[in-house]
Amino acid sequence: MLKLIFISDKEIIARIRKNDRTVLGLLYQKNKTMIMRSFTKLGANADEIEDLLQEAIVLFWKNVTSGKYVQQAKISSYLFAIAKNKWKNEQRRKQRMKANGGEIGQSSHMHQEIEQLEQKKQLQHGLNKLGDPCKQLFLLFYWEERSIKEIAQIMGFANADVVKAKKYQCKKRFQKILSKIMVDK
Amino acid sequence: MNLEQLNNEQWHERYLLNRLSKKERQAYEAFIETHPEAKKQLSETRLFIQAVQQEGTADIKAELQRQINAKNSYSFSMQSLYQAAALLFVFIGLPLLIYFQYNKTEVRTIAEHQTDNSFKEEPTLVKKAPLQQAERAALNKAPVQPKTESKNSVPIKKEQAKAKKPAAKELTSTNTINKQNTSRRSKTIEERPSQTDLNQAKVERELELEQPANRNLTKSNTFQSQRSFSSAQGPLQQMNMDINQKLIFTSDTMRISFLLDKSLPSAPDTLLFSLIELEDVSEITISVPKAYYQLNRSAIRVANKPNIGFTIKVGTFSYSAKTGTRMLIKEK
Repeated sequence: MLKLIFISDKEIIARIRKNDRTVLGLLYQKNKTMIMRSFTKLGANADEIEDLLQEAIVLFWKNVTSGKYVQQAKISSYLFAIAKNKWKNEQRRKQRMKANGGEIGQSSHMHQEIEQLEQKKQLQHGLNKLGDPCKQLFLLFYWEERSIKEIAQIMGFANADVVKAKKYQCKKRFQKILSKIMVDK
Repeated sequence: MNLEQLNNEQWHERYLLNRLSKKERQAYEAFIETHPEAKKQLSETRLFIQAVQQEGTADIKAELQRQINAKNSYSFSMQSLYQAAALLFVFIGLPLLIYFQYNKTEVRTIAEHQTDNSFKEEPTLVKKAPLQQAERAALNKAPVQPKTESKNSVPIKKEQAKAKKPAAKELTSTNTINKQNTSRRSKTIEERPSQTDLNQAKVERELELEQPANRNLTKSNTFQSQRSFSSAQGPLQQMNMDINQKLIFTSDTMRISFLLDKSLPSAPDTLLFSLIELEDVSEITISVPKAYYQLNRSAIRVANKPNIGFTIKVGTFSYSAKTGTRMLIKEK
């Protein structure tokens, strides 16, 4: 409880940069009431609001780690802005769906999308099979978009070159796993 | 990096992660347009990055959900509260209790020791020279002007002072009490009548002659203090009070100086004073809570008691103590 009251925005950002994931829960608890109150007025239900807040926190995390986030206002304001944009997009999408009479798109497009979804699933399966150091490395590099130096610090590697070498090895391993999955299929 | 060596996947990654400069981006896009193989590699890399990103999002969402569930599942149980309270008591409360209990005993021992010494220092006041003798002697002898006037001197009654200025002046000086010299004065009383007593007697005589109306009031200032101070509580009954002590009551200050019996374990919770009626003065009882007095060596001092007021009834006349009013209550 005291943590919630006394934790500052700067501390939160510093902890995210250090890849301290315990901040996630704090961020959620700290902003839940405010987001709930605001979005209830806009007509969102509790589940939608929870999803919006979670997505906002995830995006905030990603933006901080990738260096896209520039602190100009309070984190709560930033989260609220993200959630609001997401809420608006969702509303627009729903309206478009209504206007189209529930049609998703052309059948060829659908086929392509399904194929891509299948491929993504296989890739994700491969990633999970890959194991922890490689998966974490990929997540840090491709999702969090951290620099090689930062990754070296977080993962405890000696320098950036070790990270590069490790990444190359992991990719090779991943390709092997993928080809095995394809063969099994 | 040379764009021709497109087996190098770094170009695709850098393009997809927006890590190319404007020039590099333009060159890369132009190259991709003309090389279908590179385009295929790019789409594969894009898929891979998207999969990693989805996995990353799912991963962090799962972590967030886990933390939310952990916080929600935390239920406040009374058992944990009791455990915490018990631990707090065992590790903090009990040592403190023991420490203060020990200290209390120590303080009491010191106080008793000091009381013993003070008994030795101060001789018994009752046996040697009662105040009666002093007063009688004072009435027979010529009045002597007081040598010193205390800072604390206050007239008995402001109305009286206004009505009879010279008498009031004398009364003021008569009722003067020097706080610091209380014990010393007590010692003096044993041997000879004090200046204060002499002056008091003189003022009383004068007031009797000059103001018959105020007779009762003058008398009301003289009480006989009860020899044994009555109390509903046990410890007070153990008090062996010296009757020669001065009880000085004002509405804002109250000083009671007396010797304590050795057997008195500690300061009682409430001091109760019962003053027996003298002539036509009704009995008054004053209770002083512990908060207003403190045990100081051999004496109990009562100080700053704004809430303790008292009224003395003299027949139909009711006398209430006012701020700055002083009453000397002494043995007849």
